[in-house]
Amino acid sequence: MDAYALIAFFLALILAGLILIFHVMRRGRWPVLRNLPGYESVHSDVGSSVEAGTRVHMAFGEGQIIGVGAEAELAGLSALGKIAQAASVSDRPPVATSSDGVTSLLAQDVMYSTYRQMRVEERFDHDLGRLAGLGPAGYTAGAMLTPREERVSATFLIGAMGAEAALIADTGAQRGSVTAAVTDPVGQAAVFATTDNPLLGEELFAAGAYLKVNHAHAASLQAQDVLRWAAIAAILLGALGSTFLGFFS
Amino acid sequence: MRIRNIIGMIVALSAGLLTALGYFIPFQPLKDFANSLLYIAVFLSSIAMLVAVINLSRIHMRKAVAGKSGGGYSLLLFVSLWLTFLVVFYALRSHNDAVTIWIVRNIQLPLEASLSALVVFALLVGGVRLLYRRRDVMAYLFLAAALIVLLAAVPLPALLEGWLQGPDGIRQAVASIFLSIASGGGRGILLGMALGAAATGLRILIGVDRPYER
Repeated sequence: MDAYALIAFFLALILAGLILIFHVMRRGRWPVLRNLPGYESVHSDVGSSVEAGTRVHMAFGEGQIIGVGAEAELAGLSALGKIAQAASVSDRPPVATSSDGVTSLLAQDVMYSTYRQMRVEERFDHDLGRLAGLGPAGYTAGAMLTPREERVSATFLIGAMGAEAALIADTGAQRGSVTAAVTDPVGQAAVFATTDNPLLGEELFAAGAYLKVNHAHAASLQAQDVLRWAAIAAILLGALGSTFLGFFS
Repeated sequence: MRIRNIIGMIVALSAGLLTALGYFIPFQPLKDFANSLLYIAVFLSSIAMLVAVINLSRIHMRKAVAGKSGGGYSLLLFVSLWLTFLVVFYALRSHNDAVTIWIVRNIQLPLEASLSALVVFALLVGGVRLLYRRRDVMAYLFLAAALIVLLAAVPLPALLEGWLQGPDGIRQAVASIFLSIASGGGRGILLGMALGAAATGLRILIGVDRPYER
C-alpha cells in the first residue's frame, strides 16, 4: 500500500469511527444545526405545491450511481424520500428526473416505498422516476421541459451538474421556487447566480440531516465537522511551521 | 429486523467492504474479486439504463399518441432515438461507423453547442437578476469578481491597455489576485465535499444508513 492509500485508509477508519460514536451517543436526539435557508424552505415549498395542486420536480443531474457523482445521487435520493413523504397528500406526486438508468430506477423505488409506508401506493406511477435524457446536454434539454409539462412549482436540483444547472434553475424559477445543490464548482457558481436558495460545497451532503432522514445522517455531519476542524488545524500548523522553518533557515 | 433485511444488509456490507478493501490492500485475489463485483455492477447498470430508455420512449410515445401539447417533439424524440439506436447497432455489426460519426458531427455537436450558448445567456440573465433578488455582500462580491474577470478577458481600448501595461499585464494581475483567492476557496469547498462524499459512502459501509431496506 503506498503512502497516499495508507493515509486515505486511516482517514476513512477515523471518519467511520466518529460516525459510529456520534450515532451511538446521539441516538434519538437531533443536534442543533445552523440555519441553511435552502433546507429551511423545503417544507414550505413542498407545502405550497401541495396546496396549489402542482408537482415538485427533483432533478438528480448528470451523475451516475456507478461512476462519477454517485455520492451526490445518494444524497439526492435520501432527500427524495422525505420530499415524497411531505408531498404524499397531494394528488400530483413529485417527479424525479436523472440521466442515469440506475438512479431513475432507485428514484421509483424510493417513491414507491414512501407511498407504501404512507398507505397511498395507488398514487404511485412508474413514470414518476424517469430518465430525462442521456449525457449533460440531453439531460438538461429533458429536465428543462419538465416544469412546463408536469405543472411543477418547486424544483429541487440535488446532484452532479455543471454550468447547465443554470438552464434548469432558470426554467424552474419561471414556474416557482428553486433549491439547488450541485457538486461541480462551475455548477455551484451557476446556481449561486440563478437561484434564491443555493447550497454550496458540502451543504449538499447535509440534506439527510436537515430533512431528518435518519440519525446516521446527523452523526455523519458531526463527524465531518470534527475532521474539517482537524484539517483546518493541520493546514494552519503546516503553514506556520513552513513559515518559521523558512525564517530560521 | 426481518430475515430479508438481514440478508440484504449482509450482501450490501460484504460487497461494499470487499470492494473498498480491494482498493486499499495489495492482495491480488481480493483485487480480482473486487473487480468482478464491479463488473457485475456495471453490467446491471447497463440493463437499468436500457430499462430507463425504454421507459423514456414509452412516456414520449404515450404523449405523442394522446396528442398532448409538445406531442410532436415527443414523436420526433421517439423516432430519432430508435433510428439512431438501429444505425449504431448496424454500424457496430458492420464495422463501419461513418454514419455514426456523421450523426455526432452534424446533429449532436451543433445541438450541444447551441445549448452551451443558451447557458451563457441564462448565466447573464441570472447575474443581472441577482442584483435585485439577493442584495447581500456575497452577491455583490460574486458579481464584482465576475465582472473583473470578464473585463480582463475582453480586448480593451489602446489607451487603457497602455495605462494598465498591456493586456498581458492586466490578465496577469487579475489571474494572480483571483486565482490565489479563488483556488483557496475552491480547495476549501473541495475538502468539504470530499469529506461529505466519504461520509456518505462510509455510512452505508458500516451499516448505520441502510437505504436498501426501504
